[in-house]
Amino acid sequence: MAQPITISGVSKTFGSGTAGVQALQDVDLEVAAGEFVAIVGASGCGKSTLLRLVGGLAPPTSGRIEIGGKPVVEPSPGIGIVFQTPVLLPWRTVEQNVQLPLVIQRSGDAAQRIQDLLELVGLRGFERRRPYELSGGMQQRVALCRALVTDPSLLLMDEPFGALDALTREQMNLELQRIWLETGKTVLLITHSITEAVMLADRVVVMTPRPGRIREIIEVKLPRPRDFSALRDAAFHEACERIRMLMNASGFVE
Amino acid sequence: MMRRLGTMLYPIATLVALVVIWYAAVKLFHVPAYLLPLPGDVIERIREDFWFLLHHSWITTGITLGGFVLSIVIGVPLAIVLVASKTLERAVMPWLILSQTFPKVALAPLVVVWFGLGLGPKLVVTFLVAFFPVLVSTIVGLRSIEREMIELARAVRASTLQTFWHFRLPLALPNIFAGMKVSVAFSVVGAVIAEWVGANAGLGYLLLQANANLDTGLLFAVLVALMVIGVVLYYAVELVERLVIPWHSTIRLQNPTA
Ligand SMILES: Nc1ncnc2c1ncn2[C@@H]1O[C@H](COP(=O)(O)OP(=O)(O)OP(=O)(O)O)[C@@H](O)[C@H]1O
Ligand SMILES: [Mg+2]
Repeated sequence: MAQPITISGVSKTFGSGTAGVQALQDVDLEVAAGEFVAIVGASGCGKSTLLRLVGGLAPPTSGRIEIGGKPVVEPSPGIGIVFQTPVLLPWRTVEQNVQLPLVIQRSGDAAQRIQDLLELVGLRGFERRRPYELSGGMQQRVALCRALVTDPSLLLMDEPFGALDALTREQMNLELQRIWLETGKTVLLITHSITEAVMLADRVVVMTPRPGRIREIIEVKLPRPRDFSALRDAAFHEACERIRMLMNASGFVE
Repeated sequence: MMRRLGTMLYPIATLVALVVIWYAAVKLFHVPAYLLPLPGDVIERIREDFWFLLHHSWITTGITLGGFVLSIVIGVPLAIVLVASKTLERAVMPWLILSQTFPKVALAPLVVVWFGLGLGPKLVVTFLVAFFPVLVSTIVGLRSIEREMIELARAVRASTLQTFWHFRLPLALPNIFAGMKVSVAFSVVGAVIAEWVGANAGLGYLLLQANANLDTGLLFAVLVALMVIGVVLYYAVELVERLVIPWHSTIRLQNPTA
């Protein structure tokens, strides 16, 4: 039961007057139910801010955001968020961290599901470890499991694979694509990797900085399931080049 | 284990050095015993009056612990209430801070006048001396939660109570323990003050007696007993801390082998 997202005329300003920072300006975006949309843009262009607004963690200064036709005023049920930092609870084990949303929502025992998720991200055998015993990339994967454990219909991810090595990252990309194909969630993915964006997304939103606006939306017309051999595909190449060009034009160098 | 022993060597070396300086100073400047007894004499006095000192130490320890426990069971909930209610905090906090600039020793006789000479007033005095560090650190701990942690709590749709129980309180524990360590040391001071103004037993009482009789040997023996109580209680709190928040970095960094 995936849900569409409607973002219309959204602006966000932090602070006020001359000290105010305009993070987003007039952002319009329609994400269809079950669509996979990636957002790229220079550091500080408002990507995380946009995700927070969609997640109902902060209100827009102006404009409207709707999920499934209902205006967002607080975090809606059925969303999973992966934050830019893992934010794991240090006193909980890996397993218990993944379990957290279920504990809060008083859902039943899901030991098997947690096992499966940890297996999926390659963290089997680490169930009883505490976050400080894990590398940054491992922590990010725990955070991903935590977002997935409730099987949300909308998944919001802020650079979930930023701390991973190239190979693990590609594996995670493939897993994410598989999960998405199987469950048909709506996905919003922020990433700094153009390849990752093109590899995974139906559409890639390119943002420009200060104030953050949508520069252009690139449609990626590649067949699914995709894998990294698609890298050699002309269409893949073309999409990457186009995005790179757009980002360079707005003063971004990868 | 060897490393443990190694780290213990440093404070012991400091102690030995201080005792040597003490000894040398007495001998060198011919300090009379009623001003400053020799280290050996103090040890001898402790040996002689061991059971007597232990009895009074026991009483003082009881008051110290009682006041310390009061500081926690009142200080922590009070901090929670003040953090939860902006209005209450604005109304009460300035006065609590002001109360700390007030010499609490001066309150002790008043407490005795009001509540008499029993155990109760002694606990009240100890509490008054010791609760502030717990209160302040708990407030700081409850406040110093990262934005993303709060956002996580909201994203998983935790209620106010759940946010407190699963996020804020555990995250505040390291601060609370830091406050408790200061507080337990203050509690010893508080207990002595309490025993100064209305007691017929305890180390504070002995201190007054020794002073009145110019019994410097006893005075030093009592000081040593107070030191021992303070150190033992401090490390007891630290031990509990290790058990309760083994995940906190200050503890992990102390024993990298664990
Ligand atoms: N809570 C806040 N208070 C004030 N300013 C903020 C706040 N959050 C974000 N900003 C500002 O908004 C702008 C966009 O921030 P945001 O975190 O959305 O960027 P981003 O695109 O996610 O960057 P990055 O790729 O580095 O994560 C920045 O200029 C930042 O300083
Ligand atoms: Mg960001």
